[in-house]
Amino acid sequence: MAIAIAAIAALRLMGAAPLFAADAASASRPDAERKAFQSFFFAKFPKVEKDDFGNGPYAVNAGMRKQWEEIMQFPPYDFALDEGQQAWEKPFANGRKYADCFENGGLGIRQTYPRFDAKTGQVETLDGAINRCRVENGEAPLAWETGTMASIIAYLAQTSRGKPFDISIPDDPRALAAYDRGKEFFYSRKGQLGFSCASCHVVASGERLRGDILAPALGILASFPIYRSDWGSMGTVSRRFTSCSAQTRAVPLADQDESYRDLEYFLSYMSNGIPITGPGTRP
Amino acid sequence: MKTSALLLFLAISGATCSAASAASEASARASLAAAKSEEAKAIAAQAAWTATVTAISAADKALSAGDFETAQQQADEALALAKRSIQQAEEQKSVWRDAVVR
Amino acid sequence: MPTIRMKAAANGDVVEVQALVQHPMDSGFVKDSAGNIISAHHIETLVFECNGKPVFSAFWGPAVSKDPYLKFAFKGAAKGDSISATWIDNFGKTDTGTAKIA
Repeated sequence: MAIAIAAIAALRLMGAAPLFAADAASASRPDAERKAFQSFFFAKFPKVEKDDFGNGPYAVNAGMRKQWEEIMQFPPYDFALDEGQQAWEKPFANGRKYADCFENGGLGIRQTYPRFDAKTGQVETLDGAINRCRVENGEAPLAWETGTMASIIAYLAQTSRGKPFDISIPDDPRALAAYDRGKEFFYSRKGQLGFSCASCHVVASGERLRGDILAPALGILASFPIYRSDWGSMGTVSRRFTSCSAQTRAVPLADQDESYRDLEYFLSYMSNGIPITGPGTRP
Repeated sequence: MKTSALLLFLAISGATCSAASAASEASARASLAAAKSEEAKAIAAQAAWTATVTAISAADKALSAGDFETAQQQADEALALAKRSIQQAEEQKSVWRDAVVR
Repeated sequence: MPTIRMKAAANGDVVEVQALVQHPMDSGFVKDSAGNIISAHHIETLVFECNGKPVFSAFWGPAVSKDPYLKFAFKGAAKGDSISATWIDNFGKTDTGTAKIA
């Protein structure tokens, strides 16, 4: 581990551009933790290409992959993509547009979310940024779990397809604290069933939970938002986090609760380097 | 003589029974209040379990229906679940690190 | 927005057609959150025609789920031919989509 850190430091001195946002924290503890996290999954699934981890169960199970390839000939999220693009391009009542709130008009930037917002001292997700844009322009916020929010993020995710996750933890103790809270959440057992995120998505990743194959935690958010056959509709990260909580028999927190945002921050950072595959389809 | 003794016995036990029912309504209500208070703590700690919520609403429902036995049972269950859920969160604060991928 | 998205590909003398149809396909058995039945609203017939002849007919009902996906194969057409699909639902609404065989 120390050798890895020294090597990274040496590379940086030599002027080699780091793959991720250059900040003082990149040769840091979170980066070392990310490498350990990724190494665990590369070792557990040696036949899976790094770029395939964003495909979850389809990366680790041949039977599921075959069904997925067939469904991808005509992806069920197609309607949401069209709706999302239309909604994104429609101006607000005040004449401004979503594109005015984001760099590059919001296209090709999904892989940099969630971000730490120094002004609020909290993690901001893409979903949160979209609703903040709406509210700042006199529009009512969208519901978090499905519908137009999911369609818009589906469109934005598609403009980032293939781009690797590039989450930054700036040199701010509050950002590191958010990352650490997300990490603690991920590994803490919760609910009457006493499962942590890690119980299923690290320890039992690739194995069956009733009829489903458990996706590895590495890259698990890369495919969001997803059309989940179980739901018969699109769902955002909020939808999945709250339903996962309920499935462990924990009372779900509110959508976009700070704890969930911290968790999304941690999970996304752990997946730095894994390409975005969203929007996705899942059983 | 025997009949009147029997009737007296029945009258006394009848009086005791209704006193016992009155006690169980009060204790069911008290137990439910305790369970709700514990659950509120669990929710504040982001540690609440859905099973606790289910038991509390079953207790509420039983109370309104006058079924104090069930209400007491469900309230006791809810209190135990709420306490365990808070304990789980406390335990996990130190134990979670053991699960971290190294 | 078109409610029928279609792809057709010729493979030798067999043409394979895939279609994704946007429709709520409400069965008439599901209740909304207020407890009221959501009325049945589903496609009743879906007919594909190629070169003026029907090549596939589907008679659907409440058992088919929302936004159905359909795949079938037929003979008697070639690359460049046009294929059209029309659905009619139980409200009498209708829509048509077309695609060229690739």
